[in-house]
Amino acid sequence: MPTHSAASQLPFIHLNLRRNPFGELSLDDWTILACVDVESVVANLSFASAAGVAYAVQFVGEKGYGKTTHLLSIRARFADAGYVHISEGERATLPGGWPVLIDEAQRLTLWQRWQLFRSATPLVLGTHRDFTKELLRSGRTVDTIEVERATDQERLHGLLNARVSYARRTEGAVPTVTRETAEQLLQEFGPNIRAILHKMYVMFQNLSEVGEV
Amino acid sequence: MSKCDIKITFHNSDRTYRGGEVVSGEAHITVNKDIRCDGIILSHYWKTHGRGDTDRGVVSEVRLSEMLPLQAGEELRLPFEFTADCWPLSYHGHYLNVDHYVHVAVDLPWAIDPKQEEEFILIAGQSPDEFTGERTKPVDLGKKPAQVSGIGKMLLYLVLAIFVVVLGSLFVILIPVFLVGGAIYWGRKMLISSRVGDVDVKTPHLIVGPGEVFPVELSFTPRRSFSVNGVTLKIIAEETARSGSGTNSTTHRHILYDETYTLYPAGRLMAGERFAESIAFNMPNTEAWSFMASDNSVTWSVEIRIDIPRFPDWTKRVVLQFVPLEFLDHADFPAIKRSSATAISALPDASDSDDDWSESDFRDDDADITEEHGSQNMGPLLDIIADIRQAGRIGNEREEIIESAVGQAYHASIVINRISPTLGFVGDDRRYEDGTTIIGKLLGTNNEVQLFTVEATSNSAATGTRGETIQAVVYMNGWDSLYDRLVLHELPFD
Repeated sequence: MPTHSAASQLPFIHLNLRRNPFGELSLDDWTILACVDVESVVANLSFASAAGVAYAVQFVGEKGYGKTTHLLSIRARFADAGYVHISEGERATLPGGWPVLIDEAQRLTLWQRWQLFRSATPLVLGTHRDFTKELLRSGRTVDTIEVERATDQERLHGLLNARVSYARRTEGAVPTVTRETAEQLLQEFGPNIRAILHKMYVMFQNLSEVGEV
Repeated sequence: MSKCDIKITFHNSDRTYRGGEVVSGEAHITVNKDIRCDGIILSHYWKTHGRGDTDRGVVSEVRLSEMLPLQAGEELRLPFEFTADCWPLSYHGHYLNVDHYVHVAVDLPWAIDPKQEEEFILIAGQSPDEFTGERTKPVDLGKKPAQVSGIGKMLLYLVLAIFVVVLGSLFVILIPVFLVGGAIYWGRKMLISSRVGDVDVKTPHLIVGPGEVFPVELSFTPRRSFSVNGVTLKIIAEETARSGSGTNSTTHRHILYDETYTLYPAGRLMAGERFAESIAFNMPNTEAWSFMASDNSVTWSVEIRIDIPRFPDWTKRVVLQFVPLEFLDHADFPAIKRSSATAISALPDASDSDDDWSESDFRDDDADITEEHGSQNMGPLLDIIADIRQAGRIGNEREEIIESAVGQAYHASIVINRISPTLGFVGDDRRYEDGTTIIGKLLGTNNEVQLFTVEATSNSAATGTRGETIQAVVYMNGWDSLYDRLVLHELPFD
């Protein structure tokens, strides 16, 4: 049963928040809150295009490790980017744009991979499977980033507090996530950001006052 | 610095409105840079937030201002008002929250619009038009289907016909699959029926409200004798919130309420001997209303099970629609008389009822309760609530605070939110069984309480209707941790 009568108060007002900071985000909010360093990738994409080099960067990792976050962050940096997320069992239409970002690239069909990898458009792939050999055979220069290595205590600490801050209601104090908590979460869940966010959701659901978490 | 700062204020300071009421307020715009604005638009809608993807209701727009140039330093105050929706009501659960929003945006050409969004609370008020009084089947409170024109209908039929022809060719290939699946389904059904026979489940209606009695009748005549582990009825309320899609889709489930009643214990049912049992239980008092959207839902259901050992169970699931009493036309609540009793420090035992106390010591029929008997005299009650909340849910501290306060008598001023006949009272004192249950807030506070009164006679505590304040001498019976409120019993006068 609801722990607060819906008729009595605004949601999460006791924490000076508008909502649980670790609930589901819209794509726009996700992009705003992405705490990932994509500067080098952005620079490489721009340089390769200027130099006429067929370039691809792939973010490889398991579900929940942050591939989509990286892709959305890159997408936000290029006004003409084309992005598609391929759902299970669905056949996606390849987007136009520059660069082209494919989330769940392991679900591309053989023909789609052949077309895309041999095109001149810079590619950014989020994938469970490493396509280095195929991309090299297609004549591309490839960078591979294993996303689990990108998550450390510092980044996680920043990400969690950014989420809390984004959900604040007024300028007053909001709960803060400590570095120790970030470290404990990494030890418990590894680089699985999605599992960490779920744990934080439940934690904040039961939080009764502003303070350190 | 943004081009504009926007602040939204509501005329109701607690931002709480009933369905159908007028929501009014002001949008305050502070202009930071010279801009040309194509209009200032207010929109209002409901949307979900929590663990599931966002579901949003129909967005209604109101234009607060037309195109105009705005200069740095300028301040605009734009009043707004609109009629609040009747549904869905605000809900703050575990994985799912439903809130109503006012959104103001300054429309800037070729630029990102400055915008601001603020919630308001919607509680039960006017009943949605879809509620006609008919309660035998759930009311669809979702999107209304689009009206299709004559030509549109013809095109639709044409597309369907093509679809059927295409599917028909596939059907030939899939026939064996359908046959096997169908055979398993019917085989299982026949197997169960061979023992249980035809089972008849009767319920009066499917739309229910909090505190209502819900009777269920189950009857069947076994075709063969068989043992049962029990015949049970379970009422479940569950939140679901789905995020992602495809294999990335995750459905989060949270059980809000789960209560099982036994219609028949373990035993043996004999062939040809009719089994007929019924049960009536109270729907819980909660504000977890039935809600259905694409990715989020609150579902209430009743599942009846005939648990047969080493055999498939017979089960039937009935989905209920749980709605506020206000939607069910429960306007006729008995009035309770007003009390002007002063506070006492201890409640007498039942055996003390013949001692020196008399009605005249406590009642003054001609006196009105003045403001001096307001929240100031409720200090002890408020202290208890504060202590309980501070103690938190983990550990024994709460229990200790509650134990020390139970049985003590206090003065209470309660603003009535809801009155209903008491149903299914649990307790030793039977005088409350025929009384009323009042849900309200302690005067001047946001602390909700539940008050059980005795039968409405000249000796009972209070009269009142929704919105009115009643004074009562009460004793504390406990703390309802589901709704974070005190449970109080009226001090009856014998």
